Amino acid sequence: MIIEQLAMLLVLLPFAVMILSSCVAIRSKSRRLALWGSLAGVLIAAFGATIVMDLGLSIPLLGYLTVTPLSAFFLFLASSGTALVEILAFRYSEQFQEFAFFMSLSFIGMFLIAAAQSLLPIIIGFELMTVSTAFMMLVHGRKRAEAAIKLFIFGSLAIAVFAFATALILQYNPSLSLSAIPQYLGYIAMVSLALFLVALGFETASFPFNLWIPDVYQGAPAFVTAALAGINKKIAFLALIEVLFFVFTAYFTSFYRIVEVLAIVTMLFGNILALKQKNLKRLFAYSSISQAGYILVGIAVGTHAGLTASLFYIFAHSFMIIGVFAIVGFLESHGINTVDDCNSLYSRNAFIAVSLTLIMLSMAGIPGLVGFFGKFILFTSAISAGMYWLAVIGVLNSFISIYYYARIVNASFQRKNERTILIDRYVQMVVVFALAIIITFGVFPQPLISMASAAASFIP
Amino acid sequence: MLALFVVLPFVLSGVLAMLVKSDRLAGPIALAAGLVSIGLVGWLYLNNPGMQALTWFTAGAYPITLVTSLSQLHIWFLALIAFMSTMVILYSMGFMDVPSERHAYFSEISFFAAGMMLFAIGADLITLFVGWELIGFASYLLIGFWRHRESAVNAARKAVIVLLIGDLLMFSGIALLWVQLHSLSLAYIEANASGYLASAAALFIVAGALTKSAQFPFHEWLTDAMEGPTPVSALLHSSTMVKAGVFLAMVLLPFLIKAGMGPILIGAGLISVIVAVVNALSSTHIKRILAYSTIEDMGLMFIALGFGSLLAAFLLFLFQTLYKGLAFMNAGELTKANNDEMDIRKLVGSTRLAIIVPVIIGVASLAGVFPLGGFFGKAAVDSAVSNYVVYAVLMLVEVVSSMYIFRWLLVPLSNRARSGKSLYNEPRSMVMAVYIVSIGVVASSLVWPYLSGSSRWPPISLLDGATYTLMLLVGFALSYALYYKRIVAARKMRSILSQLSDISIPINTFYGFVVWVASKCGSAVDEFEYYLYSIVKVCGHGFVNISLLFERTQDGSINYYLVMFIVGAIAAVVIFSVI
Repeated sequence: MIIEQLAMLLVLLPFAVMILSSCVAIRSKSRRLALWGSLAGVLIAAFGATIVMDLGLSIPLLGYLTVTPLSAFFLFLASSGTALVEILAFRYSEQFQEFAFFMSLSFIGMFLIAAAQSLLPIIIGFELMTVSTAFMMLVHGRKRAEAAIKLFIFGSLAIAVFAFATALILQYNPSLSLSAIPQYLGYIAMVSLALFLVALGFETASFPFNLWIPDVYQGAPAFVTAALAGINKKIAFLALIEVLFFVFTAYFTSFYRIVEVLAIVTMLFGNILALKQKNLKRLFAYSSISQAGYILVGIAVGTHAGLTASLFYIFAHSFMIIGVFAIVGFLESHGINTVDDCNSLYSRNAFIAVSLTLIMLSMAGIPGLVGFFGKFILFTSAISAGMYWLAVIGVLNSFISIYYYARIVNASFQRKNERTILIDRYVQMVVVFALAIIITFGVFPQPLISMASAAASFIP
Repeated sequence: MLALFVVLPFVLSGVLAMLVKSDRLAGPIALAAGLVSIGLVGWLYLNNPGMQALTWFTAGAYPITLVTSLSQLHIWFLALIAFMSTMVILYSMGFMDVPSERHAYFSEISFFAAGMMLFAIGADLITLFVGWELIGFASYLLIGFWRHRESAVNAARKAVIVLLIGDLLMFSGIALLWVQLHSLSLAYIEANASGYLASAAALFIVAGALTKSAQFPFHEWLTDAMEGPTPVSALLHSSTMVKAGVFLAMVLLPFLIKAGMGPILIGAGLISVIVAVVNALSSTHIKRILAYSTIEDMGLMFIALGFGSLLAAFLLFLFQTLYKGLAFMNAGELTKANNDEMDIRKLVGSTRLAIIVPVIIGVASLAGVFPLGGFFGKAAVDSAVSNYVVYAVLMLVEVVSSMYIFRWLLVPLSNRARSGKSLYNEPRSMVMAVYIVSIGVVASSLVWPYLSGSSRWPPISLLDGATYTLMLLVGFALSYALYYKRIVAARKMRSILSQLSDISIPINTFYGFVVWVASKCGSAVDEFEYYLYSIVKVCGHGFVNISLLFERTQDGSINYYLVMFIVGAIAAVVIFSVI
């Protein structure tokens, strides 16, 4: 019992630390205080999450929330991602205190979704995340306003749809808890399921609810994009899993085909649009859309193996995309915005060129890097569930993606250029951390697989 | 996974040698790594953790497990690798006298040794395959080390093509076994593999082993690989690279024999041996002769393995490592003293005691003179042979074999007798390495019966030993008469030789046929690839056009996105209502 209370404290303490420190930091205009406060908060959260995962605890909170290893898995992901984003923002944001405040709010939203035992915390969590992310963009000047407004409008629309979908099943599930609703409820349940898919399709950036994504990713500062793509979208996958496998678990046979189609079109949409893309940020926005398609593959499979693979890939991709946007933001600050600007990047800064190449190879699924194992277990789970076409299309998509990654790699290792770029140590820190994850779990993935598998076993 | 630590020193030195500022430090760092490795191997010998397994990752229901083993076979192989790599690094510190080359050279050779050690501790096909690929890649770098020479680049390319064919074959074998067994640990394979699928897998794996060990018809790359620096050859031909194929066949021997691969091993070994000795006798390139001799030795090991005698093969394996390393080191000294001349007819040997003693030790052990290791190894192989035809062929081969190796020794010496100059002045580290390896050759010849229980070593019958020595003497006499005393004039000699190499004509014709078939297959693949490329290109254009089409959806207007959102929502509701 004491351990559980202690762990609960560990899980809740960070929010107090983060909010308080950022409020004080805004008053006292101290950037460092904001950074250390936020970092302390997320580190405590990550520590708490590790303990929960390690001991396999289930800690109920306030009746609406329960911290399980599944939520701890995402909490760990969110907190380490947040730490990396904070470091990036500390370097590049002019309004870091405000950013840290909104990041803390967003982090609370993530926690609410991760620990949700009911549909209400999910709604509140999405609101917190969407609104504070929009503000994170807005505080960085008027030219970010377009992206912020787009995110805000679509975010509120999605939340509205989500709320409507919740309302439709209210009579079968008056407590709104994440418990399974009975089968054979007829149209109402089906419409509700459809609307949930629409809302979460928006949150997870699946086609056709993702058309706004590239605009927002491109318009936002790179570190906010990293937070959006690396954390917010990943938490949304958990919400998707919670709704589909906790509430609509009896309807699996109805929805898995739809999720399968969503996965395929999302992969294709992202990859095909990335082919002709010149702008780096937009290219990686499309790339992250296609990677969302891969994650949906595991959810469409729906078996324990499939969900394990999805969680694995969520974790892997989160760090890959944060690393990528760290590099892209760094390059942007040196006037490198397009693929052509990447020419001779290797001779200008070898570290950046090599790390970018490694991360992209990992995304493309080259053995020895974490992305390969992610795709490997995703597609094996699809094959063992008999979904051969899904696996084949997934592999074909990996081939397509190699084309546009190769363009960047090709450009960066060409010619000599004497105008060297000096590496920034904050960016370097973030990239090294991401690379460490990518290579460690790429060489030896078993710890991450068993972690994901333990988390996935909490999905009914 | 204690055993994995043995790889660490060389990995570290591989990284450090590249990063370190001063080029003088690169060599010592690699050397230190080698010494630490020797220490680690010794420690593992005393505290043997045995077989260890580690789940690498789980895909679906089947965990993929990495297994390392430190059986006697593994640990001796590890010891040989650690010792020879260290000696070669010591030797290279003197041999590689161009400062700008040192970083890359010592880094590559460290990675090569690390890959080899990983291979040597593997007891499952995944670990073995990873090590296998690493050494293939590192050897590509090392063979083509002198990039400015076109021949070196070509040789490296040839090697890597042959080796990739081998990798592909081995991978097919592994895939077949996985399909059948869902486990790749050697112990499991040996216990459970059976049937046609297993035989096919065994065939693929044997073919893979033959490519690495440069056996017929995959032997050509090894002789071209002479373009690499001489220490690299000393390493490639002794403890590493070519040994990988034999080692693979050794650890899988019960499985291969069960799958009926014995005759194939014997056949491949026998043809390789014949091709090798004939070519060795007609070649004049000092390192090429040794390369053919390596092919011969590997062939002998495969013959012994084909007859199911693991220990006979291993005995030769052990001694061959030492004497071939020494022979290459001596060849390196000789060529360095002669301004990189490689033709034995032009090389000038030395009779200074400090030089000639290691040379004689190496040659004597290679030829198989009685108290030295080579004798025991080769006689053990002879004793393992239980087929009279094979035995008779081997006897003939041994005469030729002893002829070419004494020719290798005597021709430079006879040149010296004529020109009388001797220009030996090599760096101390080279001399030291040569001495240590010479001591190793002698010591191993003396102590081997006492290592780990003499009862387990294979029997060497007295008769086989005596016959072997007789053949050796015949060969030596012929060699002495022909090449040192030059009883027959050089021109006549050449015509005799050309007649002799007529024997190899059918083999070469066959080889040409193989090449022809391969090139036909190659052009067929090329044709196919062209169509494939066309398809890919058309698809690519298609995708790019679709991309342009899709791009219209990305015009940035919120209205449009909202419309799409709502259309999607309506579509989803409709679809679900229909279901």
